[in-house]
This record gives sequence, structure tokens and C-alpha cells, in this order.
Amino acid sequence: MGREKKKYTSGAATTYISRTSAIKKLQLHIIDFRRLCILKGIYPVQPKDPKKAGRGARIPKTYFRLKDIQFLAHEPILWKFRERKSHKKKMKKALYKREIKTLQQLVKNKPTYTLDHIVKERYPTFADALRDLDDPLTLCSSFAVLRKNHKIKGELVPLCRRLIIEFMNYVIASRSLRKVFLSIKGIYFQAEIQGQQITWLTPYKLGYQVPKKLDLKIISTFTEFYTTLLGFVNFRLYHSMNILYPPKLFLSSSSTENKDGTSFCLDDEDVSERVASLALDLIKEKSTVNAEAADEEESRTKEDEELIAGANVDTEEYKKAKEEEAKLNKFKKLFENCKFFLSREVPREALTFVIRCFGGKVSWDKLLFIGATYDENDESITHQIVDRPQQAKQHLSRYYVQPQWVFDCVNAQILLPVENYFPGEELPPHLSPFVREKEGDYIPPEKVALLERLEGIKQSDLQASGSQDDEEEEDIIDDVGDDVEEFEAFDEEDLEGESQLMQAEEKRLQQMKEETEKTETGDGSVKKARKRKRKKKSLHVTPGEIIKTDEKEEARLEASQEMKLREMMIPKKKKYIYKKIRQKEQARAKRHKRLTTKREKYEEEQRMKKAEKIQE
Amino acid sequence: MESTESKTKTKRKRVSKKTKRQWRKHSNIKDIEDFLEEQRVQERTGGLVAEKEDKDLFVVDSGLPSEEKRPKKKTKYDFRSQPLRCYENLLPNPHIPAVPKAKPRGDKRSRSANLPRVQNKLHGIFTPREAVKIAEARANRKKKRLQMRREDKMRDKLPEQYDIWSEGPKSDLPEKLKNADPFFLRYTKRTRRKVPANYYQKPTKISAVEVVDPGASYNPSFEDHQELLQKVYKDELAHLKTEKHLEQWSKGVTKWPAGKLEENYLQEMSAGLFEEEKKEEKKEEEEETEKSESKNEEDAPLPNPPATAEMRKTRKQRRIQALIRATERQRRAAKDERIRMNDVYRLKKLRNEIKKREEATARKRKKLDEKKEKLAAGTKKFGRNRFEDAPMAFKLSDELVGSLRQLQPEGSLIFDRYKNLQKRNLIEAKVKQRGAKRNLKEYVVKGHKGIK
Repeated sequence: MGREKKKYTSGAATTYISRTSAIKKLQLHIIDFRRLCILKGIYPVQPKDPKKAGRGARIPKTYFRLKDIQFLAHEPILWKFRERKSHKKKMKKALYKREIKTLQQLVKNKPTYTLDHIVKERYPTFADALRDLDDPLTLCSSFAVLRKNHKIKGELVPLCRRLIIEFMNYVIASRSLRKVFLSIKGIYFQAEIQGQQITWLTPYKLGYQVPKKLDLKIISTFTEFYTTLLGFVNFRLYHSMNILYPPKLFLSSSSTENKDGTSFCLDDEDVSERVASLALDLIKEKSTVNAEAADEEESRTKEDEELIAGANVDTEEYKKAKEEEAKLNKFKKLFENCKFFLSREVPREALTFVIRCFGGKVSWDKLLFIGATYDENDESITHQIVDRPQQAKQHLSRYYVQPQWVFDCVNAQILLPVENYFPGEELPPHLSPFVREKEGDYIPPEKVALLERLEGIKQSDLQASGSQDDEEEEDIIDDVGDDVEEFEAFDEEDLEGESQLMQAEEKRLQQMKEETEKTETGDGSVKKARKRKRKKKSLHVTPGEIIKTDEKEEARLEASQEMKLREMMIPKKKKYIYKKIRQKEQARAKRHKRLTTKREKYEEEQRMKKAEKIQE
Repeated sequence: MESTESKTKTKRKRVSKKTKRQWRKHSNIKDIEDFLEEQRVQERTGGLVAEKEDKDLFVVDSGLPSEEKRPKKKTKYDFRSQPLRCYENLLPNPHIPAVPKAKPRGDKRSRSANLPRVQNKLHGIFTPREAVKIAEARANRKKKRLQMRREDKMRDKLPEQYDIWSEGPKSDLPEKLKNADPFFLRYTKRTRRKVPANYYQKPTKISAVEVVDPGASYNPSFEDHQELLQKVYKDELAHLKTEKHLEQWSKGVTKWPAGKLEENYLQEMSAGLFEEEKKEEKKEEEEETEKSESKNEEDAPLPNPPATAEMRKTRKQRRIQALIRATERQRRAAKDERIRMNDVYRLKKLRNEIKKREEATARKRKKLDEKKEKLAAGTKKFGRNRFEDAPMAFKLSDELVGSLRQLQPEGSLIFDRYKNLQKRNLIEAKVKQRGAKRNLKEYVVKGHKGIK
């Protein structure tokens, strides 16, 4: 028998340390401790057994791993925190003693720290940093719209704005934007950078207030770290594209003044403000090198390709990948042939960003923002984005569309027909591109149309099939005998002016005639048949009839029987899983049916409403 | 004069003024003398008042007193222009003579002997020792200047001008230690510590940016919007249910009526008082209980009789008992052995049993692991406060405007981020604490002025 082991000398009692004791150990104030934890990426943990971790006490506490705290104790920034603490004391003393010179000296010598080594420590490779970019981008873009605030460091807000603008400029240059979603919270963007999907959320540029219920100190510490990270990421991204960092522009006229002598900004802020307009291309380091690379890509032989791919080129997979690549390249040039002009009432930054990401040209009113490249009277403009129902002056050479058109085009990956997006028109719903339906899920009809378009079914085909469907619908409605609904069915087919209405009227009259004829002839024949039946109750011989076989039905039956047999062959072990899958499928089908009927009902209601309106 | 007068008043002294000398001595001529004295003063200070005109004597009251006369109001920051109280001692005191200025020690050598050295210095010729010192000082100054410049740059936060992932962070080791022994560096704590084992594990699997439901689009489709509303409705229902539950629970807590509270208070306050009375009461009670106990004793079972020598077992008896026990043990062991030997024929069955048991444990383990993973993926509770997610953002059907221009955004992104950080276990859920009340000292104002 060895010695009796003492309690709480190993296990959970020693692997965890409470926050208070950690603070004591590091000799910090709680504010500095929180800051250090955030900067170093050390987070609290929840021990499995709080009683063991608390050495017998069950008091709810925040725990950290002891190893983590020991790791924190070795951080050089810790000393800077202590220096800052004593510096603060000195400042206070000088202030109260009114020693102005000492105070000036102290302000000048404020201890500072850099976070470079922590960035490297937390993100050992560039890919790691890219993977975690969602949070920094979202936080920085929401900080970028803040007002000056005494709770936030003065330089943090403009820094965030600069970094976000730089990143957006990179996305434009690399054309890596993939999805946009206008939600009621803000605008979601998704970009694909070096194989990583990066999603971030930006606020609408409106009067923005800091909510009161949060601790700004904590959140601005996160921002402080993320700005450092974003700076390094931007540097690396810019260099991967051979673009100069910090971004520079070719400026034709260096003065910031407008014609009437007013100016948007100071002369030394000119470049950064123009970069922030997102409308101009950035200067590349060596433009020749990139051009050569592009040439190389074109002149690649089949063997080269094989070498690059590391496999046979003729395989189906390779072909598929190649096809997808071509599709993506086409998508990147979506707005290449479009020239946009933005009206004053539309969100300028988001639209400029999206349009420029797909190669479009953008400009706006000169007085709206710095960096407008052409005037509203330019005849080569193809689209003008407006968000008011009526326009004062209209040019015939361009389409006037609502801003949603641009975003919907990006999500659909094609240029959608502009008719539905004219000013004053009721817009089609803006669907989320982040939803992916599984097989058998219910898909709203708007999305079905979009998907079909994506697959490349021609518009004319779609319309033709649509009209057929409508005819079928008409038949059913005729049986019901409801005139109003029938009227509406036509209305839905194509809503284009009175001529269509007239046609519909004629068609309807014709059909009514036919119907009456049918009923007359039909009634006579039925009566005769009945009489015949009564007569032929006595013994008689009838000619044999050929039994018609419905091939489709038989095939279906056969398939179902086969399916049943196969089900029987499933071993008992796997039967449970199979049953589960079947149940899921059935549930999905049920939901599908429920939603379609709901939709139909809703549409019917809408139609009724419309009809009532027309009648009025 | 006055003193005598007062004396005359208090003590009526009769004096005769018969003679001229007495008359002069005792007659009261103060008023005349005062008058004459006043006239003399007036003549000295600019003429007799009686002869002066009105305008020389009076000033026309124009309403406000002049600015000079008005007392200057002390501002809040006036104290700043005055010297501090703590430095009053340091100010020169006119009553204390100044300390004579110390004479510089000067060179011990005579002035004439020192002259060439001074001249050399003026011409820039130094002794080797001085030269070294000067060079050192210059180097130090340069170093400090460079450092200051570097720090100034850092303060401006210029964009990071290097690639951290190919070059690595700039080392903050001094130049001397760049090639130092790693052992030395480690023991002088100049090397970075290795990161903890689970440093790169993420605290949760919850994504940093959660995309909202399609129904939260600014212009949603009918189905999506309905679905979102349904979700919000369900959430609200659950919330209401818990609230109701809590309310009911709080109903179960008994509330004391006012009378009972008072009684309790009295009882507490009088604890330890009136002990004697209570003791007497107790005694009576005890007597009663004793009586009842004595009754009970008669019915209770008798204890075992004390052990005697006759009752002791003999050695023989003990030996026989031990023998019986041993044989029994042997018999049992033999039986066990027999059964075990028989297991040879059950090998197949045993193998199956083991297999089954292993499978069962594996299944159990898998289930536990899954549960653990599920727990690890979610939001945890640190400290006292449990995380509460922000309510879902949504717009009612009549709030949907269908135009980007008229859209009013819901919620705040920064608050959303804050909640997301909490949800991902990066920070603890915190409830903002209100600051403690200022501790003011209470005192009674003395005198009638303070009483209103």
C-alpha cells in the first residue's frame, strides 16, 4: 500500500482554472485579461463535472484550461499591458499636477504593441486565415459605418473602412464574387477565393446606431485583432494578383475640385477616396508578366493539359470539369457588355461592387460621390438603375431597371429579361441563393423557372409548354363552369394589352359554342346506349373485344413489383435504415404536396382578387 | 475722555465749579471740540462740506453698480491658475534668507595650468577617454532617435508592408541575441512557448456568418415568408410557455402575512432574553416526558445477559468449527474448478458471448460519442448566465415594402456579431451590470440656516 492520495491534486481539479484565479496568476485587471484572451484566441471551457473542477464547490464559474493560461503567461504582450497600466498612472499624476511638459512627453511615449506574431501563431498558413475570414469581414464592415464614438478608438473606424474597401477591390480585380442576397438585416456576399468560400454580411448604409446592450470594449478588441489580420491578408491577396499594395490608381487629373470649385475631400485623401468609389482599376506591379501568362494559357497543347491535370484528358470527369470552368468564365463576364448609370436613390456602393465584379462599367451623378466616370447623358449607357416609379427624363437607348435586377442576374448567372424589373412594376421575389433544395423537396414556382433557365431551356419552349398547361386548365375550369376563372386563365397566359383580351373573348365564345354542341350530341347518344342495354339482357353473343393494354401502366406495375421484391431481399440488418429513408422520403413528398396545394390556393385567391379589380 | 464720561454717568460725582479753574476743569466741551476737529479735517481734505455744492457731494445712482465693484464670480476652473497647496512650502519665504549659491569646485589645477586643456576642448581635441564617451553618447542618441521613429510609424498604423506567411513575423530580439544559443534563449524566456495541444480546435461548429432564412429576404416569395413567420411564431410560443411556467412556479413560493412577519421579528429580536421563564416551562415539560418514558421502559425487551465463563467455547469446539469451515471452502473451490473445467466444452458459446458483449459496448460508446459531439457543437454555459439568442429578424406581411429604397433594416449588425461570438463560445454570456450607487456621506446641518 502506498500513501493515500490527496484530493484535488490531479484530474479535472488541476486541468481547469477559474477565471478569478487565472487573473490573479497573470496579475492583470479583468479588462486586460479579457483583451489578452481575445487577442490570443484563448476561450473559456465548460468542464464536464463542475464539482470536480471547482474542488468540491458547485458554484457556477467560468473556467479556462490551465495549460492555456500558462501559455498566456509567456506572451510578450503581457508586459506591454503592464507598461500601459503604469503609463496610465503616470499620465493621471501629471495631469493632476498640471505638469504639461511631462504630459506631452508621456503622450508621445505611449507604449504600443503589434499583433503580427499572434496572427502568425493563430494562423500558421494563409489558407487558415482565409478560412476564418467571414467573421473579420462582417465585423469590420459593420464597424466601418459607425460614427465616432468615445468608447471606440478614433482610428479604428477609418481603418476598418479602408481594409474593407481594399478587400472589395481585390474581389473586383479577381472577379471572385459568386452570390448576393439582400436580406432585411443587410447584404450577404459570397466570394470564392483560392478555393475557399467566404461569406460576409454588410449593413445598409443608413443612419446606424450602436446598440446599448453590448460591451463595446470586447467587440472592439476583436476588431483590433481582425484589422491586423485583414491587413496581412489583403497584402498577400494583392501580391497574388500582382497589384500594388497599398492600392494606387492612374489619375488623369490629380485635383479633387469639381467644376464649381467645391471638393469632396482634401488633396491627400484623394487617392483613398477614389479607391473607395470602387469604380477604377488598380495599378498592377508588372502588367507584362500577367499578359504572358494569359497567352500561355491559350497556347497550351493537349499534352501540357494532361501534365497539369495529372490524368488522362479524355476522361469524362475531366471533360465535366472543363465544361464547368468554361461556364464559370462566362459567368465572370456577365456584365461585360453593359454600361450602367446609378440614380441617386439606389445603394451606390453595393451596386458598384456587384456590377464591377462581373466586368460592367458604372457611373453615377457627379455630385453623389467622388469617382464618377461618365455623365448621365452618355448615349452608350445600356442600363440605368432607378428606384422611383416615375422618371423625369427618359433616354430611349437604355433600359430603366430596378436595383434588384442586378442582384437577381448574379444569382441566376444569366442576364434576366428586364421586363419584370421596369420601374413601377411589381418585382418578382428576391430568392435566397444560399438555399439548396434536396431531391423531392418543394421548390417554389419562381425558382423552378429560374432553374430551368439555368439549365438552358429556351424561353420559347417554356412559353409553349406554359400555354399548353393553361389549355388543360381551361378544360377543367369549363367543366366547373366558372366564367371568371376562365377569363383569368387567359389573363395569365400573356398580359399584354387589350388586343389579347379581345382575342381571349373571341376564343371563349367559340369554345362555348363548341361546348353546347357537344352536350347536345352527347345527351342523345347516352340515351340510345341505355336502351340498347335493356334490350340485350337475354342470351346473346357479342363480338370479342381487344383488351387495350396500357403499356405505361403495365411498366409501372412491373417496376413496383420488382421494387417490392428487391425490398424483400434487403437483409434484416439494413431494413431499419431502409425504412427510415423511406419514411423521410414520404414525409418530404407529403410536405411537397401540402405546399403545392397551399400555393395553388393562394394563387387562386390572387386571381380572384385581380378579376374583381378588373370587373370594378 | 469717554471713560471719564461713563464714570460720571455711573457714578454721579458732584463737583463744584465755583472757581474759574474748577469750571474749566469740569465743564463738558466735547461737542465743541469734536465739531472743531471735524472742521479741521474737512479743511484738510478739500474744503468745508457746508460750503460745497450738491454735485460735488453726491453721485447720481444710475442703477447697476460698476463692474469693478461687483465681486468676481469664481469659475469651476479658477483653481487651476493658482499655485497648488502642496507646493506652498517650496515657494520662497521672505523671512528666511536665501542659501548662498555653492561655488563650483573647479579644477584643482591652477587656471594658468588648465588653460591649454580648455583650449583643446574648444578646438575639438579630446583625450582618448573623453572621445570614447562622446562617441558612445552619440550612438545612444542615434539609437533612441531611430527607435522613436519606428514607434511613430507603428502608431500611425501604416498598412502592413510585408508577407507574414512567407517571411514570418518580425523578430523583436535585440541584434546581439539573433545568433544566441537556443538553450540560453529558452532559459532567459526569449523564445515563444509552444502552443497548447487544442489551440487550433474551434470551440464550436457553428458558422461565423449564419445566413438568414430565405423568408428574411427584402422581397421574399410567399412560401418562404410564411415559413419564416411560422418559425417566429413557434419560437414565441415556446418563450411564452416558459414564461408562464416560471410565473406558476413563483406562485408556489409562500408569502408570509404581515402579522406573521412581525411575530417572527419579535422572536428573533428577543432571542436569549427571558431565559428563566422559558427554563421553568421546559422543566415542566421534561418531567412530563420522564413520566412517559418510565412507562415505556416496562414494555421494552430485555438486554442480553452478561457473558460468563461457562458460556465460553472450548478449544475443541473452536477447532471443530474451523475444520468445518475449511472443508466447506475446499468443497466450494473444487466445485468452481469443476465448472470452469467444463467450460472447455462451452468455448464456442463463450466466444459468442464475448463478441456480443463487445458489440454492445461499442454501440454504447458510439452513442456516447455522438452525444458528446452534439454537445460540443452547441453553445455552452460559462459562469452564471446562460446564453440567450437574439430574436429572429422578420417583417410582417404588411411591413414588406417590395422596394429597396423604402426598406427599413431590422436589428443591428454589431449586436448580431456580439451574440454570434457568444453563441460560438468565444466569450461568456454577460449581463450588463449597473454601477453601484455612489456612496455619499450623510451629516446633519447645524444652525438654523440649514433648516427650511
